[in-house]
Amino acid sequence: MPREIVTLQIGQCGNQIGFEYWKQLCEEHGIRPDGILQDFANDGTDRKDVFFYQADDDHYIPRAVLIDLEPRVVNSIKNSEYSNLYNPENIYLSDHGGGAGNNWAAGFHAGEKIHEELFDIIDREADGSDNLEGFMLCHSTAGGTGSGLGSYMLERLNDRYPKKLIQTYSVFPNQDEVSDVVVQPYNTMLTLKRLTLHADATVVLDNTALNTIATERLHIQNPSFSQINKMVSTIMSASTATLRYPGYMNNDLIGLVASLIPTPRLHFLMTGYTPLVTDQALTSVRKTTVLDVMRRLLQPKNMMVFTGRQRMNQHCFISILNIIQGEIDPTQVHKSLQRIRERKLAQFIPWGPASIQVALSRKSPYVPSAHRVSGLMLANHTSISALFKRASRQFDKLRKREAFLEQFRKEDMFAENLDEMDASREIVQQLTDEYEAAATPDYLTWGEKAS
Amino acid sequence: MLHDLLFALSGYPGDIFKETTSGKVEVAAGIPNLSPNETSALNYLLHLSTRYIFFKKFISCNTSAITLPGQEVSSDGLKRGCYLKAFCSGLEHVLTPYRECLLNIEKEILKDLHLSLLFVQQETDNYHYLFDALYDVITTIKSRKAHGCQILEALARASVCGNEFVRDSILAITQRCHVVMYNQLSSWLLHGILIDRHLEFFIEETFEISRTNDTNEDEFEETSIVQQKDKFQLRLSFLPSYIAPRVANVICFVGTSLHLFESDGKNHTFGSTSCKTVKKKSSDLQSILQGKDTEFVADLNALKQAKEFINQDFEICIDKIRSVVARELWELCVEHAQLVSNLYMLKDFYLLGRGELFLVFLDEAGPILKNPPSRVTQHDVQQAFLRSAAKIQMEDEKPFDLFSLTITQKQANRSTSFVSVDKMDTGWACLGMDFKVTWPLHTVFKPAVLEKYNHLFKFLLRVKRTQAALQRIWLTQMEARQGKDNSEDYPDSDDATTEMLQWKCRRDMQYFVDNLQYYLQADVLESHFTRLLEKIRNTSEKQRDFEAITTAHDNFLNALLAQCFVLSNTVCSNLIEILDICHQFCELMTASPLLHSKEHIPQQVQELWKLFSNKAVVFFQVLTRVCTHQGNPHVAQLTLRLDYNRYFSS
Repeated sequence: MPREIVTLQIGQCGNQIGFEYWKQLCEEHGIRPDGILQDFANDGTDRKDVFFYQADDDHYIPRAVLIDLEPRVVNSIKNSEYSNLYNPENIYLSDHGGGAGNNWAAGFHAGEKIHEELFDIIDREADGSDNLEGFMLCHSTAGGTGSGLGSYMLERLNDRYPKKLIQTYSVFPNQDEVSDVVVQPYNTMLTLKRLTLHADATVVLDNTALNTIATERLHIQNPSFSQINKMVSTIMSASTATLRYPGYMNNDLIGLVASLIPTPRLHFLMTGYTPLVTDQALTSVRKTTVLDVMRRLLQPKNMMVFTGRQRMNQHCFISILNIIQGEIDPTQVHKSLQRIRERKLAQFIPWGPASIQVALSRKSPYVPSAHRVSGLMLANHTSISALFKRASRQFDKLRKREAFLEQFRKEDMFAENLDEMDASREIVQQLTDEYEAAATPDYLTWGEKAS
Repeated sequence: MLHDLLFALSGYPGDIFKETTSGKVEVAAGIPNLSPNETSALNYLLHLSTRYIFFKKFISCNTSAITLPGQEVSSDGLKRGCYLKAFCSGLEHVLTPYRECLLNIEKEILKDLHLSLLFVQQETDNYHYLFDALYDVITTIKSRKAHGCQILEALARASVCGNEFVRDSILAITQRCHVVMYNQLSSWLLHGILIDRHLEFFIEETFEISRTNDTNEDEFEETSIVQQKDKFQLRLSFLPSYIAPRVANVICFVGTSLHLFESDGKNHTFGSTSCKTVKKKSSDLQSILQGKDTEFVADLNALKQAKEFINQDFEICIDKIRSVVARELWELCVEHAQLVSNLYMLKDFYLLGRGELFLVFLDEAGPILKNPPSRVTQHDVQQAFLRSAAKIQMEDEKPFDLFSLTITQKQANRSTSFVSVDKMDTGWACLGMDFKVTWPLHTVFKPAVLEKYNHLFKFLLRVKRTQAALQRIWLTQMEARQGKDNSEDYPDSDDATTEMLQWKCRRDMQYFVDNLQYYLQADVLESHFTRLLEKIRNTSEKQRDFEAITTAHDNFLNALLAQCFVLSNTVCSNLIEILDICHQFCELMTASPLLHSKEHIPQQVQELWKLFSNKAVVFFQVLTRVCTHQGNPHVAQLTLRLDYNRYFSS
């Protein structure tokens, strides 16, 4: 199977959303928790092989590598009904099991020690595929393992597989509430630098927005991790739908992201999904149409990134890809596009042509859904700079006071100076500026002014 | 003397009434006691004799019981045939009253010796008109060398006539000829058998074996595949003008369909379930016409006996048979041969519905098709195709027995109605796809239809190729920035400008091609396909008319061709030029890291970029012009997508 994708799940958060993601994929492809294909799914034409491979006994194994420095989450996966799904050789747990202590630097340096073992696994997965297209990395930017080890792996993957795509699903911490991880702003900043320089596409999942959506849209008082993760896995599975089902176009990862990313650094994508439902599925009163779905996708409250008020003002879309799944009347797509333009529901960049691209995809026949049509939006929007600004602000606050730096200084990288921190801050500033420039008409000459 | 005259009138001239060399019977010169008045009166009567002799000769010429093999043309220069014989027997039939009339005259003369010439004249007067009319018909037939059904046409013209007597006689002849036609029709309409030894019917069998197949021999091994595509067709020059072409087409369709059940059907079996039912059907004619065949035979017989050909009755009868056959064929195609799943299959392949397969194929076949095709290209491409299928684990699926890729060399560009989508010097231009049509479905997927599919295939593949090339450039660009970023120093301003231009160039090209693709997918392919399926579903509830399906399918294809702009020369050539520029850019970008001197690259990119943006603007203008002039809604759909943020129009 060409154009396979290997998923790397790093850290507590990465493994949790990865777990939900594989659960979702198994349901959609009719694969039982032990990897055996359900009887009813035998003659499907779906392309399971992009994300799974078949073992000798025909059971499907995810092309996934589970990495963590502490055993808690991975063990809970091992004890779940999905324990036999994964290839046990693909699970890496650090020997000492102590974790990274929420410290980016610890995670990063752990990587230096264990990278050979990790790449043994990754190389084996890569060799096992016919024509590997790239990697999907799931992690969070807040803790120690996902951010630190994740950053390290990003750098190394780039060296080792320069021709392969790296797409990340990066969960950004909730910045509204006081976190138990005080060094979160440092971790985020240092990770952002690697995401900017080494990832080809980053799908930003903002916990702030996810929580807001859960409480306001889904009316869950205290959203649990698993409920949030369920939302994330829905997004992940929808965004890979065109890869997993035969279709006219968007059959590979490049096809999906290349049109969204105009220049190398502007590769941070926002997502929106509708209709969102939780386990207690609400019966929908309305009949969902393509227009409904496309209109709702453009509403800020459905976006998985919290960007504040300013989004409507000077910011604009660089590119939009809507993946619409379900029973669609294709003639409606055009009408919806027309309506959205008439109503001026979306602002676009002034320096080039831009439009809403609508991809039609199949829906899993095995997962019952109350909704006829569902849609995912992948968008490159300049207001994502708000997220970087927020991160920078919090970083600056701590950095000015030189707070909580002892942990970092223990590691080699920061033993002598904190240049790495400031370099990261600088890169993120450039990124923020570039995104803001992209909202102006003279973005194309922005590079000249900046240097 | 009167006896001599009667002899002459019944076709035996003697010394007094002599037959001249030109075949004219006249009063011999130098007969005494004849006043000039009498001579002219006699000559007037003898005109009948002339004609009568002519008719007799014609009849004897064309009805001789013994026809030697090889002697297909009579001494009159007319080809033998049933219609001609029927015509002669009809002629004989209408001449009988004439002979009786002569007999009558003779009897009268014997009774009353004083009866004068005038009496003869009065008795035979009517026949002058008739004989002239018949003479005209025969000369027309002779001069036009009318054959078979063409005789009907000559008769039909002559039957338009004010003289009741003449009209009735002509109709009597026509009826005789129609008997032949109805005999042929009933074997054709009720059994699908074309009995036409002398090639007289207005439907003919075509024997030409269609085009490119002679290139690969192994195809002939397949027995279940229909090679002789459209077996029967109308012979329009034989079609009498009083049968409307529509009805004739219906007749052709009904017979062809029955032929399908009757003779072909026995050799074909279906996969698994439906096998038995169809076999039963084809061996048992009763069920095809649903036991109505006796009714139809009666109908046709009634028509055969009718004195006059009444168009309306004829059409009603034909349509009745048609609706039964069309329904049966509908069931055969849609229910037993699974037309819908075949349509899905065609969409998956010809219309690139399996995008992932063709994505792999583009990689696999790229190096092969970059160059002009050679003898082995066909084989290589087919292998690449199968390899791609194996890679996405589709090779076990049924379609791979049916679809194959072909390379057609240059003579293929005879189909000038389509705009060529590739430069002629690469293998891509010659690439096509073959689909082995399984048995009953060749009635829907005719060679002309498949050719249209092929054109769509070429066009769509071309667009997809460009899109894939641009995406690869994106990847190399992303890869290139890694090197820059790792070297830590920010590039100087010149580099930044160049790079930005390359990014911008790629983005705009990508934008153009992507939006074209999204337009093709959602607004064209999927929309029309849903419509087609809808129509097929509708027919299954209502009349189950097979022809409604073929019409819907034809409309579907034509809409696709129009909306992919393959039919519009200006739009298409502009589009192809833009795709060409995109390709040049891609080639430049792929080659650039390998070049030693890179100075000229920024300039070349700049040029290509200028060319591209100019072309894009021109293309946009062409579209808007086409749109306002012809009010094509689909053009507006494409412009909406391309110009969504009014970047081009402002």
